[in-house]
Amino acid sequence: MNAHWLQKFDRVLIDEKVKDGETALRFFEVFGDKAEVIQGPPPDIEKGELSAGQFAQSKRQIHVTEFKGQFFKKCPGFHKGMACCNYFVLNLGFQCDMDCSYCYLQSFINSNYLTVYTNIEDAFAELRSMESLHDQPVRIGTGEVIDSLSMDTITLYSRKLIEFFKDYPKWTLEFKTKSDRVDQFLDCDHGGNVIVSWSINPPKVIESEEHGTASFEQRLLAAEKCRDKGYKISFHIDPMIWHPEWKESYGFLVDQISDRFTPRDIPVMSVGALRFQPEQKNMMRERFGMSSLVTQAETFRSADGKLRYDYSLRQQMFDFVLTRFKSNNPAWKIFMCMETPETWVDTFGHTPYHEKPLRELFQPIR
Amino acid sequence: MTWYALAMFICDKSDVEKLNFSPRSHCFKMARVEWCNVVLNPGERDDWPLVDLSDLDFTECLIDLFGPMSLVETVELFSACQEFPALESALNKELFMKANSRQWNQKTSELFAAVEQTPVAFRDWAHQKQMGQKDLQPLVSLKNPQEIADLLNQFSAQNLSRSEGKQALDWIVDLHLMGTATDLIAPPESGTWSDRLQQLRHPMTDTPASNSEKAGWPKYVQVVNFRQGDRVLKKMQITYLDKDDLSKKLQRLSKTEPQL
Repeated sequence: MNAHWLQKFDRVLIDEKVKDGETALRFFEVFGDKAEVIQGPPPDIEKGELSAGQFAQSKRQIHVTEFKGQFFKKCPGFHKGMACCNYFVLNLGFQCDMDCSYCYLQSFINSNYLTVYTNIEDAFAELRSMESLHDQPVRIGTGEVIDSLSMDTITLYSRKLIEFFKDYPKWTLEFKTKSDRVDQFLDCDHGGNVIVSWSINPPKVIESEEHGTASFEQRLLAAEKCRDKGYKISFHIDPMIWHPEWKESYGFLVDQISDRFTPRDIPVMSVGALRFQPEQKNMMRERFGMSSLVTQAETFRSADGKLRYDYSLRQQMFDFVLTRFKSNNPAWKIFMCMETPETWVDTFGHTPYHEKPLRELFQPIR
Repeated sequence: MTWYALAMFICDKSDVEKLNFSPRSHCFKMARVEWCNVVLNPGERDDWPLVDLSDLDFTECLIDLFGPMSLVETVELFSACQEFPALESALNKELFMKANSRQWNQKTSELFAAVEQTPVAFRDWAHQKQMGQKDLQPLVSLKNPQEIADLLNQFSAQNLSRSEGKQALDWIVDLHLMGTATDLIAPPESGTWSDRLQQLRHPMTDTPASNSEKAGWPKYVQVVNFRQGDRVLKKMQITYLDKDDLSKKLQRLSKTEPQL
């Protein structure tokens, strides 16, 4: 395990109730003296919103505990007025150890700890109980409020999830990550229904905005490893971030993906543009100043209340990426994440329900 | 607190100190209240009886004395208490904030430190408009809000509404941190400050309301670009004499192909 990465964590608090479990024992093994047992919640959690300093702290402190709520939820992108791709999320932790300037967790995290839940068996029980969904083409991702794989070399949850999903062939499991940590599950016998996906941006944006993440090349290398082991892969070019050389940057990204992968390797990709809740702006400005491409962005309030680039600029950016992919190979399938049907029509000329390869993704679950 | 109850605490002292705080709105108006030798409402009349409430809980005294307070007033009250170690240590900020439907935590503490550094005129405006924690949060991005004290003084003189002020403050902080010269950020001699700030903050995508479009439209048509949220829309105005004139002009307009 990467010693440099482990060093960035200041402390690991392990809930007394879970200290003898498999996951907790792995944390003890990996962190040694840094790991300590506590009873109840961590003592330094305040009520209310975190300060910028406390948010930064939440990336260096881990709390290992059990989760008492509902693991399985509809994707937060599911809002009235948005084109929905039937995505569900399974949250096995909360907060991410990487530090992207635009991360939406900055708008609602209220604990100064990265939390890892140990009761994955309860999550499986919850999934087993969803009988009405067992025969539906449901997509379930584990990377909504925590990176799917960045802590996985410790938890090894990927192995259990892959095994579990073999019993549900109609379901698709998606690991969404900005790391290159895939070696721990490459030997698993999977059911062909696992997608390993990368949220990806051009090298310039990664260096400037996605702190502590794997480089562009590392992500593509990890994707190649997964592809070679028969996993489906995907890329989410999201959030696209405007900068003066954006066309060169995103052109390079599209060409790299097109050169190294085929539409058979990647069933579908998504694009999205920078968006965030207005309240998040303060946190980003306090943490990253105004030298970040994200805090500098010229954003305006859109219909759903989020701040976004000007509509026509978003159109230009989406159109550029889609055209470039299609000119490389018309078989690429791409959809837009968290955009309105109107944006779909302006970009593709129709809503996702009318594009054959995407119809299944966007069909309402019965 | 009633006068009857206070009568038991009336004292006769001349060596009391004064808390450097005067609330902008409500204050208890029956007596001067003293706690550990400090008069808490010194702005009131000197001939009022002095009551010593040092035996009571200090925070509860403050809550009763001043009632609900704006965020700005609370900042000023906490700041004034800091001058007296006895008051500072007796003040339960969590309790006081809870009584005012707010929370005291690290984030609030940082905001208070920032608001304290702003000019009085700005604080007067922020109190008057009941600016809340989220509205004033941009100030925390500055190392020291005194860096933009001149702008904040000018801000206070602009008679901005709460929503205008909230947006303007956000843009001012952005522009200052982006290194824009203060004289550029300052209110312009002509035009609205809000338009100026918007143009400075969005040089690439901003479309001012006055940006009218020619693009080959007939003379009786005026087209103006305007921003609505994340979109730039066009507003068309047609000048006509009567119904017949309107139908002729609309007919001609339908055949026009402007160079958009």
